[in-house]
Amino acid sequence: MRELSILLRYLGFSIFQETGQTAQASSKRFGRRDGERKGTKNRAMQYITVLLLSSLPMAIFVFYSNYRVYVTLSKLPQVASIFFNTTISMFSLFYIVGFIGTGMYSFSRTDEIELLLTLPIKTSTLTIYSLLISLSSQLFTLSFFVGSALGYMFGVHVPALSFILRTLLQLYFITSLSALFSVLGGGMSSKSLVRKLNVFMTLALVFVYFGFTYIEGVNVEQLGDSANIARWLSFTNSNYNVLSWAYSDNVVLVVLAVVLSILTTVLFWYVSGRVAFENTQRKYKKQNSEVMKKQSYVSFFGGFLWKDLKLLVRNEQFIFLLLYPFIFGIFMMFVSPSSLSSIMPFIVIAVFYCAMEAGMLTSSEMQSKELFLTLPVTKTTMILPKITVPVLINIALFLLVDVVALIMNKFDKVALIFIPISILLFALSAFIGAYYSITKPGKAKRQPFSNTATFIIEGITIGLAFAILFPITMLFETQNLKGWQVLTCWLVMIGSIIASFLLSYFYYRKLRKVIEAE
Amino acid sequence: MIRSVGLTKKFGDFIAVDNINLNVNQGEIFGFLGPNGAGKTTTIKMLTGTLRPTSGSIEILGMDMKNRAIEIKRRIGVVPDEPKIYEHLKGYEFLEFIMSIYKLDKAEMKVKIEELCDAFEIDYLDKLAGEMSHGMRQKLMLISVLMRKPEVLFLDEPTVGLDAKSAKILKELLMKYAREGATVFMTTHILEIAEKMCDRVAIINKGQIIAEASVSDLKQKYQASLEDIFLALTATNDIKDIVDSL
Repeated sequence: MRELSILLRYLGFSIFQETGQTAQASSKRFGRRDGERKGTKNRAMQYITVLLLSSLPMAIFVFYSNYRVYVTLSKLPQVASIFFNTTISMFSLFYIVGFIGTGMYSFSRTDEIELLLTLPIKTSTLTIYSLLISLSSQLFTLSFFVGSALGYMFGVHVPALSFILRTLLQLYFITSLSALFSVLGGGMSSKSLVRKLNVFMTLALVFVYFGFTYIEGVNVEQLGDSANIARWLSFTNSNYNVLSWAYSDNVVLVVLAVVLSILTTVLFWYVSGRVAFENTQRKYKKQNSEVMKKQSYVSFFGGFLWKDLKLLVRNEQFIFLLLYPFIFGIFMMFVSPSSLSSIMPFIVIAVFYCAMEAGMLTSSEMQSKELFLTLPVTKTTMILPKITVPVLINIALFLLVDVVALIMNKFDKVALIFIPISILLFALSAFIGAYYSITKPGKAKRQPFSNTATFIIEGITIGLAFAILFPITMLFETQNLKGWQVLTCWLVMIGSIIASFLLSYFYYRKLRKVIEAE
Repeated sequence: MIRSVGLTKKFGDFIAVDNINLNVNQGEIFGFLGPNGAGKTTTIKMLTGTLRPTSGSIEILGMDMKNRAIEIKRRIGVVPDEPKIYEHLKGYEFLEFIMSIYKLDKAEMKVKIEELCDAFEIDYLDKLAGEMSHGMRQKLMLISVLMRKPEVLFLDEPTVGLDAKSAKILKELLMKYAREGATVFMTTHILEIAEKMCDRVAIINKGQIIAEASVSDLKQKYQASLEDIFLALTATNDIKDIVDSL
C-alpha cells in the first residue's frame, strides 16, 4: 500500500501527464526550481481532481437528459428497458475498448515500468498501479455510464438497492473483463494509439449524448409502435448481450455475470503474474531498402508543408480539433431547419480550434528549433505552413458542411456570405495561435499556449466570430426586426469585420517580429 | 574555411563567449575542448548560424554569415549535442524531409542511406523519432548529415550516446572525409578522441580560448599528456584533494 501511494504521489498517471521540457526551459532557464520550493504535490490526486471536475458536469447533464427521457418512457416500461440496455451496453463497450487500449499500454514494458522494475517494488503493486492508470482514463466514460444508469433508476422508478447492486456488478464485470484483455494484449498498443482511441471514445460519447437528447423531441407513442426501431434495438435486450446480463430479469444470467466476473478476476491475477510487463510486442524488422521504397509525397508538398501534414495526421488532438466542429456542424443540420443554424456553431467552434492547430504546429516546430535553425530555409518557409494548413483545412471542412447541407436540401444561399468571413476569421485565428505559442507557451509539452493566452485567444476568436455571425443570422432569419435592431446588427457586424482585419494585420506583424527574433 | 574574428556572445550580463578568433583550414580536423559551461556549444551555434553573435564576424567557406546564412547552411552539416528530430516523423521520413530541404537526388541518396545504415547498424527507419532512444536519434542525425557529404562539418559531442563500434566508424569516417578535403570542427569531452583525431585543438574556458595549437605542439610545450594539460589549464581545484574529501 505504501509503495502504491508513493507511485501515485510521485508518478501519478504519468502516461497522460507528459510535461514539456522545451517550453519550460526557455522561461525557467536560470529560474528557481518550483518543485523544491512548493513541495511535491500528489500528482494522482491532481489528475483525478481535474478529471472529476470535468466529468461531473457531464454526468449531471447526462443524468438530467436521461431522466427526462425515461420519465416520458416510463409509460412504456418495455421500451424504456430496451433503451436502457442499448445505452448501457454502448457505454460499457466504450469503457471496455478505452480501458483495454490504455491497459495494453500500461501493462507493457514502457520506459517507466523498466525503471520501476529495477526498484524493490512488488509486481502486484505495479499491476494494481497499471490497473488504476487504465481505470482513471475511463472516468469520463464512467460519468456517462453512471449518469445514464441513475437517470433510468429515477426516471422509471426501479427498486434502488437491487439496481445499484446490479450497476456495481456491471462495473466489476466490465472492469475485470477489460483488465484480462489488457494484460493479455500488453505491449501491443502504443501511447499514440491509446490517445487516439480516447479521442474517438470521447467524440463518440459526446454524440451519443447529443443523439439521446434529440430523442426527447420524438413522439414516444409512435416510437413504441415502430417495429423497425424495436427490431434494431432488440439484440441489446436479448440473452446473448453479455453487457446487459447484470440488469437482466433472468436470474441465471445475473448469476452468470457474477461467476464470469470472478473467473476473469482469478484468471487476470494468474496471467498478470506471468505475462505483465514482459516484452510481448512483435518485432518486425523491415529491410531499410523496403522501408525507403514507400511512396512519399514530400517532394510534391514541399518539406515543411508535408512534415506539418504528417503531424496533423498522427496527432490525436488534431483529429479531435478537426472532427469535433465538423461532426457538430453535421449534427446540428439534422436537428435544425436550415444550414445557417449549423454553420454558425461550426465556425464559432472552428475559429478557436484553428488557433489551437496553428499553435500546436508552431510549438512542435519550436521544440525542434535547434534543428530547423541549421537548415538552409528562411523563417517564412518554416512558418507559412503553420498558418496555411489550419486555415485551408478548416475552410475545406466549412465547404464540406455546405455540401452536406446541399445534399440534404437544407442549403441556404446566405451561407455563401460566410465564406469570405470564415477565411478572415480562420486567418486571424492562425496568426494569433502561432504568435502566442511562441510568446506564451504552455507548461505541458502538448499544450500550445499558457492558460492566460488561451483566454485571450478564446476571447478574440470566439468573440469576433459571434459578433460577426450572430447579426447576420439575425438579419436573415429573424422577421419583423425594428429599424434600430437592423442598424445595430449592421454596425456590430461591420465593426467586428473591421476589427478582425485590423487584428489580423496586428498579429501578423507581431508574429513576423517574434519569428525574426528567434 | 572557418573564420571568426572577435566572436562574442552575451546573455544579459553573462559573457558566454568572449572575443574568440578562430581559423580552421580546409581538410583540417579541429577539436574544440573545454569543461562544461565553457562556451563550446554557444560557439558552435554561432558558427553554424543558429545563434546570433553579440559582436564579431563569422566567415564560412569564404562567405559572411550575416549576409549569406542560407547559402552557408546549404553547404555545411551540423550534428548537435542533443539530436532534436521531429518526434512525429519516422526515421525514413526524416531523411526524406532533409532530402527535400537540401534538394538532393533521391535515388542517389537512398543508396548512400543504405550504406550508412549498414555501417551504423540502423534497422529502425520505420520507427517514429519520438520512440527512439538518444543513441538511435544521434545515429539518425549523423546519417542525415553524412549522406550529403558536406564541405564543412560541425559536430557537438558526436560520440555521446553511440556504441563503441559506431563511434569508431564515425571517427574513421571523419578522418576519411578530412583527407578528401572536408573540414571538421568538433567539440568533445573525450580527450583521447581529440588526441587521436584532431590536427589542431583549441581549449576554451570561461568563454575565452586559453590554448590553441596542434596536439603535438601542446604536449611539447607543456611536457605532459593532453589530459594533464587540459586539467592544468581548466581545473580550479586539485583533483586529488577533491577525491580525498569525498
